[in-house]
Amino acid sequence: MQLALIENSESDNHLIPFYLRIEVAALSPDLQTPFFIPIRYQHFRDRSIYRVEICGIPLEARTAADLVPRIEKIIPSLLRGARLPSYIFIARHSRRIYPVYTFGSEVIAAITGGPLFRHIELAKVREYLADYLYQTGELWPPPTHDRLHVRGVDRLTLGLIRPVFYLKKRAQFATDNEFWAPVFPEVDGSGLYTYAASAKRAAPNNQGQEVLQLRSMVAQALIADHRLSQGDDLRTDRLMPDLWLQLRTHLIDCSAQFSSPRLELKLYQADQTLIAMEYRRDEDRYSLYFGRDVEDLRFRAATDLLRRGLIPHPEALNCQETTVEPAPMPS
Amino acid sequence: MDQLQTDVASLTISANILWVLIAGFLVFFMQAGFALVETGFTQAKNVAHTMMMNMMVFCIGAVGYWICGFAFQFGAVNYTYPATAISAGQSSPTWAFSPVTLGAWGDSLSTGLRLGEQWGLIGLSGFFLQGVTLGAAGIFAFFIFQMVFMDTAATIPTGSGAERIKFVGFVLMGFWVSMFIYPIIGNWVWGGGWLANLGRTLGLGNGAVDFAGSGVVHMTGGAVGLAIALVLGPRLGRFNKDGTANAIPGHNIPMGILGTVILFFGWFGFNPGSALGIQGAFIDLVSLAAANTLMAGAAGGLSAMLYMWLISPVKKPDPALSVNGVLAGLVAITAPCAFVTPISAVIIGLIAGVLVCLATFALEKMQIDDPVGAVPVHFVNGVWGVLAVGIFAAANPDTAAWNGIDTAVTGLLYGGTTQIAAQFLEVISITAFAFGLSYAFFAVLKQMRLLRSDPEAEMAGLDLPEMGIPGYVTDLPGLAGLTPQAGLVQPAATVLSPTASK
Repeated sequence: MQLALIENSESDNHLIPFYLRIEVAALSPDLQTPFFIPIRYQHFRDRSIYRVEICGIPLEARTAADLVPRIEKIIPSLLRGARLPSYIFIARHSRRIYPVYTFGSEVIAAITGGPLFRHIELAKVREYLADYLYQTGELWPPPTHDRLHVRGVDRLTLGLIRPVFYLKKRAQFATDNEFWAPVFPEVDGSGLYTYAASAKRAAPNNQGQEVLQLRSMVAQALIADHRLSQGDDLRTDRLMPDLWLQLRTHLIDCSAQFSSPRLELKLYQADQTLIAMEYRRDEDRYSLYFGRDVEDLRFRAATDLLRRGLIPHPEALNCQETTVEPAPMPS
Repeated sequence: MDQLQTDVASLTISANILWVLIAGFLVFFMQAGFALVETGFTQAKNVAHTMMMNMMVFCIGAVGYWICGFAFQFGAVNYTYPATAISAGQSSPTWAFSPVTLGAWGDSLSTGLRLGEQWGLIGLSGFFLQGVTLGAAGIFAFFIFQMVFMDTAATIPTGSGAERIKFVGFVLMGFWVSMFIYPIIGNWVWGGGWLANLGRTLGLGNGAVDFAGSGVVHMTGGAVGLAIALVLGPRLGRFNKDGTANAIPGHNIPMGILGTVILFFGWFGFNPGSALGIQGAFIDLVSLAAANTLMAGAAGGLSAMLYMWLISPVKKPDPALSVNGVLAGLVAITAPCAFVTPISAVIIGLIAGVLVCLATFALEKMQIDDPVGAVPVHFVNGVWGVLAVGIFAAANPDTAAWNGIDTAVTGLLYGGTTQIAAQFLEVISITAFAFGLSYAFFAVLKQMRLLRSDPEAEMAGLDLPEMGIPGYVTDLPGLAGLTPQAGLVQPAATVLSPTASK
């Protein structure tokens, strides 16, 4: 492994004075190398601190050079089977992290002295890992109910990437399946991808419409896999604002909304599908519900809002007409 | 001339005893193989615990077997049934079950509990090897040979209970198997008991025939292993809520494979040694058993590897199941090795290799956690080996008079229609006795909190809580939480302690 500090000559060099160039000869050929890790600088209470984050592990030192030997120790410890993590699970409360690796079409999370959790779908691996961690007491059990958040690992900087949205389906009866899949941008930024029904599903960039295209693709795959009965059961959760703004330009505003005392969900139409949009103010993200008609959509949205405790009963969500607003242009 | 005959007879017996001793020493060395296989296919955090079980099972078993195991198994081996034999018109009316190859045993080991003349249940002489004269070389050699066989049976369940059994539970299990379960079953098949006599009592072929112990040794060990796996329950994290299984990879595949090679080598003592002699016709049995052992083991490994590579969802030549395929082939040929042709041995081995894979998947479906596959290897293929005698036994003339029946052991494919029934009875009785009683025994131990380790100890590894020392010592304490070595087979340390940005 070769490491070299490179001075940043760009305009942001007061924030990122150095990049650490890392070349790991032992890595698998499918991994981009060398890596360029940004070393950030902070001056805080007369102290200079250099910070870096490797696959979610934060390190800091008085000088950039002091970081190098520490990173040199961290990288080998993260290597598994000549790979670095593709994803990281982060426990919401304890902040512990669990690296996840991709081998072919499978994702694998391994616990020291414990099982190897492997599945084609990241969601399944998260479910299996979380169950184990609850069992062993490493994750706080209900009612505190610690959860595992997922982040992607940037293939160039080894920093963490938030999913641009999630595809989600709630269990609707006792023996029903749940489904959950984070969606990430492709490494080269050419589109979006996720893993569902034992395969990678990808949609190329299409001015925001790739969001619906990927959802539709995954829904069909899940229906074929007998894990979904209706495509509208699969919803788009926590969509990033920029993607929403792009997508919204392709939707028809229905001049209506679902409302309850605590929230409002605007209604849109895309082809034959009605969409209700919930703005999640705390996260600045957008969740979309889908339905074939107003009542179907209202029922689906109300069921989820009820589960989350945002409405007291399904009838608390009413449909109201609104005035039409012009759709904003994408930024 | 008389002196010459006496000398030749003495040399013959000496050669036979020497062969049995050498074979016994080979079987003894199999313990190293079992230790390496079990330890290699379990996790590094339990390595001292697993190794200790494999060493101490020998010490526990040897003492237990000496106290009463040998007596229960062979205490009535010299008892004969001349009246019955004569009435059956047999030419060998003084048939006894003592190995005539190892010299005259006098009146020792001839007391037992039986129903009528034929239905022997248990031997009752030879406790602590008392009553055996110090010059009885044949008996001492036989004791050693049989003791290492018992040890094999007692070792098998340690694999099924690995990584979550308390050491005290293991110690009690060692005494349980060596003193009661194995010896009583051994008495029924090899000690002149009721299963061996099924030919004379019910006209079922040559009675239950089990040359080297697919049933007596491997099925027994596997049945006890199944019982302990069921009572213990799975390791933490082995199964998900949806019923799917998570792999808990072994920490050292080379160790596991080296152990398998040692076991394969030791099996040449296990099977050919069971002829209990090497002079005259016995050398035929020895050589045939050796050749069949080699071929069945090889065929088992090959078919398991190909099954995993070409047919199973894994689509890889899985090392763990290839190893178990070799062992499955060896287990399956253990009963029929001196009765079948080499072609049959290969068929038996090929089927065994596939059976071990199917049984492994079936156990996973049933959410039974058997860390090293002891049940698929030893129980399932023990059953297959016992039944294979009833199917493939080729009327080898050297096996005439087996269990006091004049005809040779003959399976279905060679016109013997009743041998298979005796084999079925052996399978059923061993399963019912070994599994049933062991399940109850372990359930009681579990109630007394003597069987399953605490979850905290299981997560941390049993080495420190149970043994007081780690199996491996790292000299990089600063990286202890972060320094797993690369590779899929190595469970990785993944829990780091950052304050990661969300």
